[in-house]
Amino acid sequence: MRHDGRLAGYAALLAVPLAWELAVRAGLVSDQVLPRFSDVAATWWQLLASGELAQQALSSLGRQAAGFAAAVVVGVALGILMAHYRSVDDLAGPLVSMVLPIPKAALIPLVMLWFGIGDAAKTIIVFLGTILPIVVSAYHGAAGVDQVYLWSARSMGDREPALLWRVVLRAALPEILSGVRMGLIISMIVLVGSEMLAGRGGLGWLVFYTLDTGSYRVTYAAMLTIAVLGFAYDRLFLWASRRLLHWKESTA
Amino acid sequence: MKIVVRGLTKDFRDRQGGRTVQALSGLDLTVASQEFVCLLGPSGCGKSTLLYILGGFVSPTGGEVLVDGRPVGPPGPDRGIIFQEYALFPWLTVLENVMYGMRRAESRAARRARAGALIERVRLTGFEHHYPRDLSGGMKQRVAIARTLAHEPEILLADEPFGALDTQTRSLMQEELLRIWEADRKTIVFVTHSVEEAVYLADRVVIMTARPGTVKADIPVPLPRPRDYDRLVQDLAALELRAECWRLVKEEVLRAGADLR
Amino acid sequence: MTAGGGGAPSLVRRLRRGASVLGVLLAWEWAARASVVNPFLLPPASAVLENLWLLLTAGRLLYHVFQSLLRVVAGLGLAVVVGVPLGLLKARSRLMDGALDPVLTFGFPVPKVGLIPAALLFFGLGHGSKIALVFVDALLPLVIATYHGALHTDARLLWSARAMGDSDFQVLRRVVLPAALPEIFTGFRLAVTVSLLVVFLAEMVASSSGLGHLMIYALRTLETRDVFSTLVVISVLAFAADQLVLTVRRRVLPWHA
Repeated sequence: MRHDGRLAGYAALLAVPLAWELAVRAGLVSDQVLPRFSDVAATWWQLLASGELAQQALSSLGRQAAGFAAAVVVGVALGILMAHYRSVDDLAGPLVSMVLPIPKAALIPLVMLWFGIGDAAKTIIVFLGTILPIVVSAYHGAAGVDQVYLWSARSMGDREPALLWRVVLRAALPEILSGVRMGLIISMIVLVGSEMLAGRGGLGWLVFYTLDTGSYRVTYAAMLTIAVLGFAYDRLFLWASRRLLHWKESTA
Repeated sequence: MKIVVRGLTKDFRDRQGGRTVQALSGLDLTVASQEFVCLLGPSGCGKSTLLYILGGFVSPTGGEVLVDGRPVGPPGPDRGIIFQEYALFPWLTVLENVMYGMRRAESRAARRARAGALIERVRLTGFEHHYPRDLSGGMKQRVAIARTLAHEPEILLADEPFGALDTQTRSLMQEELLRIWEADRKTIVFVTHSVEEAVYLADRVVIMTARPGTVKADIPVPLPRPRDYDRLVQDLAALELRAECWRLVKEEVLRAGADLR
Repeated sequence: MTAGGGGAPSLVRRLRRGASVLGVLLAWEWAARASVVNPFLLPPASAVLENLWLLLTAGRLLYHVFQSLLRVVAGLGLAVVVGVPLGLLKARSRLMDGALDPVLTFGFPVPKVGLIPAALLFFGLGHGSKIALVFVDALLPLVIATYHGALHTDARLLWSARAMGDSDFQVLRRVVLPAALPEIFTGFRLAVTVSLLVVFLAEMVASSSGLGHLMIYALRTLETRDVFSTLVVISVLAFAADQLVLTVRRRVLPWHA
């Protein structure tokens, strides 16, 4: 039943490179705009072998990892504190609400203005872009923790800050992780975006540099790498989430 | 007296910042050590609120609440609580849940051993490494009981703990609770809707009025222990007590219904 | 934390909240004017507002706002027209469900900003590439949201409609779609957020018009006041767009919580 549809779906995906190749060969699309898939694949392999791809990818991932990790730690902590303590909510809440609607892309030039175009700037951009969805989901998760859990823990002797760590964080974890996932996706977007805008290496930079110089095969090879990395990272995250939430009963 | 309540009042402010709701008004109650007291009353009469005040989760608006002669403080291991929704931490196994409230001062091995003994006491041996999602309602409540007993409270507060269970499981759990309680009699304050449950379990049944809640009647239940459910169903004294309690509760239920907004 | 009162924010709390925002603004103004922070890097708030007014009245600003909005609206419009029916289809047809799954699974986490070069190559520097990017980014959230909304339609509603003589298509249009609207709106809100993000980013990277372009141009020419002014405009726009969606939602769905 569902089986058939899925098969068709996967088949369709696999057919894309094939369609790509044929479309270019048949002249449907100019190979100035879209190099042949086979050429792109060959170029990709070359880049990998020469180590160039790995170097740029690691550069990108390094910045992303630092900014993302910091955003998770600070964001989750802030969200939980805001949900638990009125005073924190009053101070930080309005600021978060104000910054929240700003499209994260718009922060890139601002950070570039203040911090230049180096690694630090990119890490900060990732941090700022990622932290908000995390704060929001941590806040909602923590605020939504059933009162009876808190009361039970208290009656068993737990006090803040242990209470926040032992109960609130654990109970809110499902919601927090879904916010972190959104943060992950956004972090990749702002990372690549900032690399496109502010040189100094990385996959985003590679894409743009080669676009300028006309080496479109490399451009597409880099684009595909970005796509695959983004996908793989997300999958890894989902796997880790499932393991962290192994105790959860599945909701319909 | 283990617990003394004098002139207790509790007001709640409406969410919208509008009206004030008087949940409890001028309530007096005493509970002796090792006594099993049931709080019985119509919905909204404030019996759960009273329980939460005893537990230190909610502060009174006025009056005195003394435990062991001292004003009741914030929640702590001296007063254990059991909820209708079990409140088991879903991310911990049965064993970890039971061990949760134990003092860190003990060695891990000692805690595990004690937890194991408690699990055996509530007849759940073999389920130590299961997660709450794998357990039925009755089983979850038994874990909750074990968990509360684990930190050795002197007072046990129970908020309609069997309310979410089906009738059959409920009856069995009532028997279980008495069996466990007979072993070391803690002071218990037990909130319930069910007259039958109250008469079966308690030494005293305290009947509360409709909101604002206060004590309507304080009925001793001198039935001999250990109580055999099957015999009590036919016992004349028990039936009379039940009828009397229901008569009083019914008055309040009807009054509460008449006041519905 | 005891469960007392709670309820409406007291005066104290409201003051605290207002104070924190006010505090930040005042600190900003002071820090810039007193040169605690380099006023070049952080122009005083008042100067930014002044500059904003200048940009507005000089006319350039509105043109760029219009360009950005045009691209977003076009891309979103296309995404809705394609995405909502796809989502409905995915919910009603097992075959489509399975067929679309791989696309969604693979498409969702991929940073579609990586497609900017392809969009530029295919559509050039103008509107086309931006609209294409907005379309691709907004499509998936809409499909997923519509799918979830349609899926959860109470079977009994469907049966009632059938019993009253509705055909397949009519049921879809008259029952499933309205029932799925709340969820669709949620997805639409997300799509709006993503669209704005993408359009500004794309404009920054390669465009000769639009707010994104304006901002990066200001940066490159070191007109820092323009950078801030544009940021303010972008923020206000994003906020207004979100509020608009919420208002429309209230109107269209008065029956929903």
